[in-house]
Amino acid sequence: MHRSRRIIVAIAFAITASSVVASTLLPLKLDDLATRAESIVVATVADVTPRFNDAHTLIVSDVSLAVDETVAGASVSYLTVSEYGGRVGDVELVVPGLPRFELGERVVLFVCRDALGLARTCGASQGRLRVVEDAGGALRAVGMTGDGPVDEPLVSLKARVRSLRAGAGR
Amino acid sequence: MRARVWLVLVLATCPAQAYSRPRFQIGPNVKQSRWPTTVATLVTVNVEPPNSIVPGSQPLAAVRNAFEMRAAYSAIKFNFQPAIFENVAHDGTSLVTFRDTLENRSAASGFGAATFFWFTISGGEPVVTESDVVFNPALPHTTTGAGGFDIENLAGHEVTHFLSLEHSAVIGSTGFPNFDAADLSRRSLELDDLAGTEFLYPFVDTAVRTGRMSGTLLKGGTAAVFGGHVVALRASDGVAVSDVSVTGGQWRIDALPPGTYTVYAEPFDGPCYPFMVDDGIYGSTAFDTSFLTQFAGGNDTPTVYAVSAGAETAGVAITPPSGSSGLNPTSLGLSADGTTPAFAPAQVGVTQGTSAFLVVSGSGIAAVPNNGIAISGPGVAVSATGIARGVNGGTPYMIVPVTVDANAPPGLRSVFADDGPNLGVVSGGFEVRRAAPLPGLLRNDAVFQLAPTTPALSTIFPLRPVGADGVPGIGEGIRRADDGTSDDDDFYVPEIPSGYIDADVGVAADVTRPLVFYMLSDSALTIRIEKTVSGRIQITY
Repeated sequence: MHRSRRIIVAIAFAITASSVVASTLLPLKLDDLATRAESIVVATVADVTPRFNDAHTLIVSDVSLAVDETVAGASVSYLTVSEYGGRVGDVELVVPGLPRFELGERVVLFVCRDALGLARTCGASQGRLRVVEDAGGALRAVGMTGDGPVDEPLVSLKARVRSLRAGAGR
Repeated sequence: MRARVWLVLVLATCPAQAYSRPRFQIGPNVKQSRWPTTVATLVTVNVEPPNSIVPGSQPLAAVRNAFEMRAAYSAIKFNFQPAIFENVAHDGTSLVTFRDTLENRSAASGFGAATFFWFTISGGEPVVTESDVVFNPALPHTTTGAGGFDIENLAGHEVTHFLSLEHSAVIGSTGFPNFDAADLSRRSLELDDLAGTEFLYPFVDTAVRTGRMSGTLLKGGTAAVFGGHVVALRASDGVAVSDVSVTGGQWRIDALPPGTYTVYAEPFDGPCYPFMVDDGIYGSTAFDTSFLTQFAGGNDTPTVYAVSAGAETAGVAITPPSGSSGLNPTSLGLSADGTTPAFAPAQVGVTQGTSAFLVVSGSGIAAVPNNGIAISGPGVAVSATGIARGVNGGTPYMIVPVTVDANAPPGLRSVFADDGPNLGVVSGGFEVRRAAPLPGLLRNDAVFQLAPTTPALSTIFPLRPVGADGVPGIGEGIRRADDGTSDDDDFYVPEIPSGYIDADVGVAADVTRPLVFYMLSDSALTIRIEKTVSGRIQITY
């Protein structure tokens, strides 16, 4: 199989209309992500620091992001989210399905609060879309939401997100 | 049907599954994490309220079933105890918890269920020390078939991770990350799930009973592909197991049943994408998706490789061209009327002896001729007439009539699209389903493991050595003679070397496996196992 970004974008929309995607990962469609998120940013990963949580029961990785653009929510320059998983010393915690961030990685991030009040990526890995350059140098958002695969121009995605959020009165 | 598609149909019979081996960089080496198997792994289960279990459910049995299924096919064994802890935490105790706490809600946020597995480095090897599964207490969970997420279905998938296996890359396997919540097929295991489990937790005879394939994935024969999906397809019955190519384009597939295989590689460009199988286990190196789907030996004449027990078939070279063809089927579905498209989140299933309208969607499908769709394996006919075409949301699709023979082997098949110069594939996307479920003893809600409390069958029955290749394994042995009745099931086992019956598939299994039967979870029922004078094992309940 071979990638065609243009077509994959079309697939994403096609699936939107018809899918009943389910998994152990609860599907969140883009409109769910857009309306549930406390904030939505385009940002670059500046630091990833794994640590044991305060209760010393789980390893969380604090992900510091330099915000390039606030798509929704309060405007900030820096943002930190925490995700379970990471290595501290010789001990590593792996949680399949949760996003793992790389230094320098540029993302569209949907940020939600969990039951403990932690700032997390909404919908696990669904709330993190990578920003990549296509062959022509244009920025695209690439990832997977409950709608299916996402691969579309960043500009288009941001406009859709804003529209969805406005439509929901947020 | 053109020659290439026909060849694929014959050779690449592939109810495909895939497993992803967890790999961690330990110094200069890449290692697989696993549990130690010198002692049984203790699993504690917390079903105490408050929780969101639907009343009337049997969560303990469902969870245990999921674990016992893995234990039946590998050297890992489990002991179960009630839990003293309630939260997912690094406390030295593996826990399956339904308990409704803020901590568990946080841990399971975004999931129906989630697995947290811990490992450390011991003797230069990554050793799993603890694994916790949390069922999202914000959601209802059930074993009653209604009102919530099926516990055994979710557990079947999560145990994949408990064992430290990553997501599978091929649709339909229990380890594949997406599935329809109404599809309970994750309660059982596909061969790839089994191979992955046995690879990590081999029996004492796995190395001599199974084989291995290895080779390289090199674009244009020279450029190593990191992150290519390499699928080995057993020619005899279409069973498939896969791997992900790593540094140097190297790949290796372990725990393969002896037989003949073809091998192909496809890029992770949908329906499975890199982030669906790579949670960091492959490091920060990006998967290379800039190559064409291709068989070793070429798409016109795939090379057939023999895999022998106890041996490695090495040096298998897959040398696809670089680039992108634009042909990329990424979604399947079943159309109710042959004209209206529908799309499934995972595999589609068609029952033996029935027909259906298969929807194949993706880029380049419009250029695929009417005879360009093929489903791997025997017993599935794809019509070249009566094709419907259209575009949904900008993506072309075609709807092709398919007919599944009554005797078509059940399992997951691959769907190939051939536009002439190029091949595209949805691996494992088409499931041939049994017309009649296995008898009740084999297909009930609970799995009851008789071993280790039950003596090995070899100590009960002096069974004779197997003939043929002498290495009974997955899919080998003596098939169940008939489906039995509602109250008994018969197994002919005249030539098992010693040991057990694999009741799940009704064939002889190997000596080291415990005896696992599906049975009613009614404690009032009893099972009686007897050997008849003819060598038949009679199971009555």
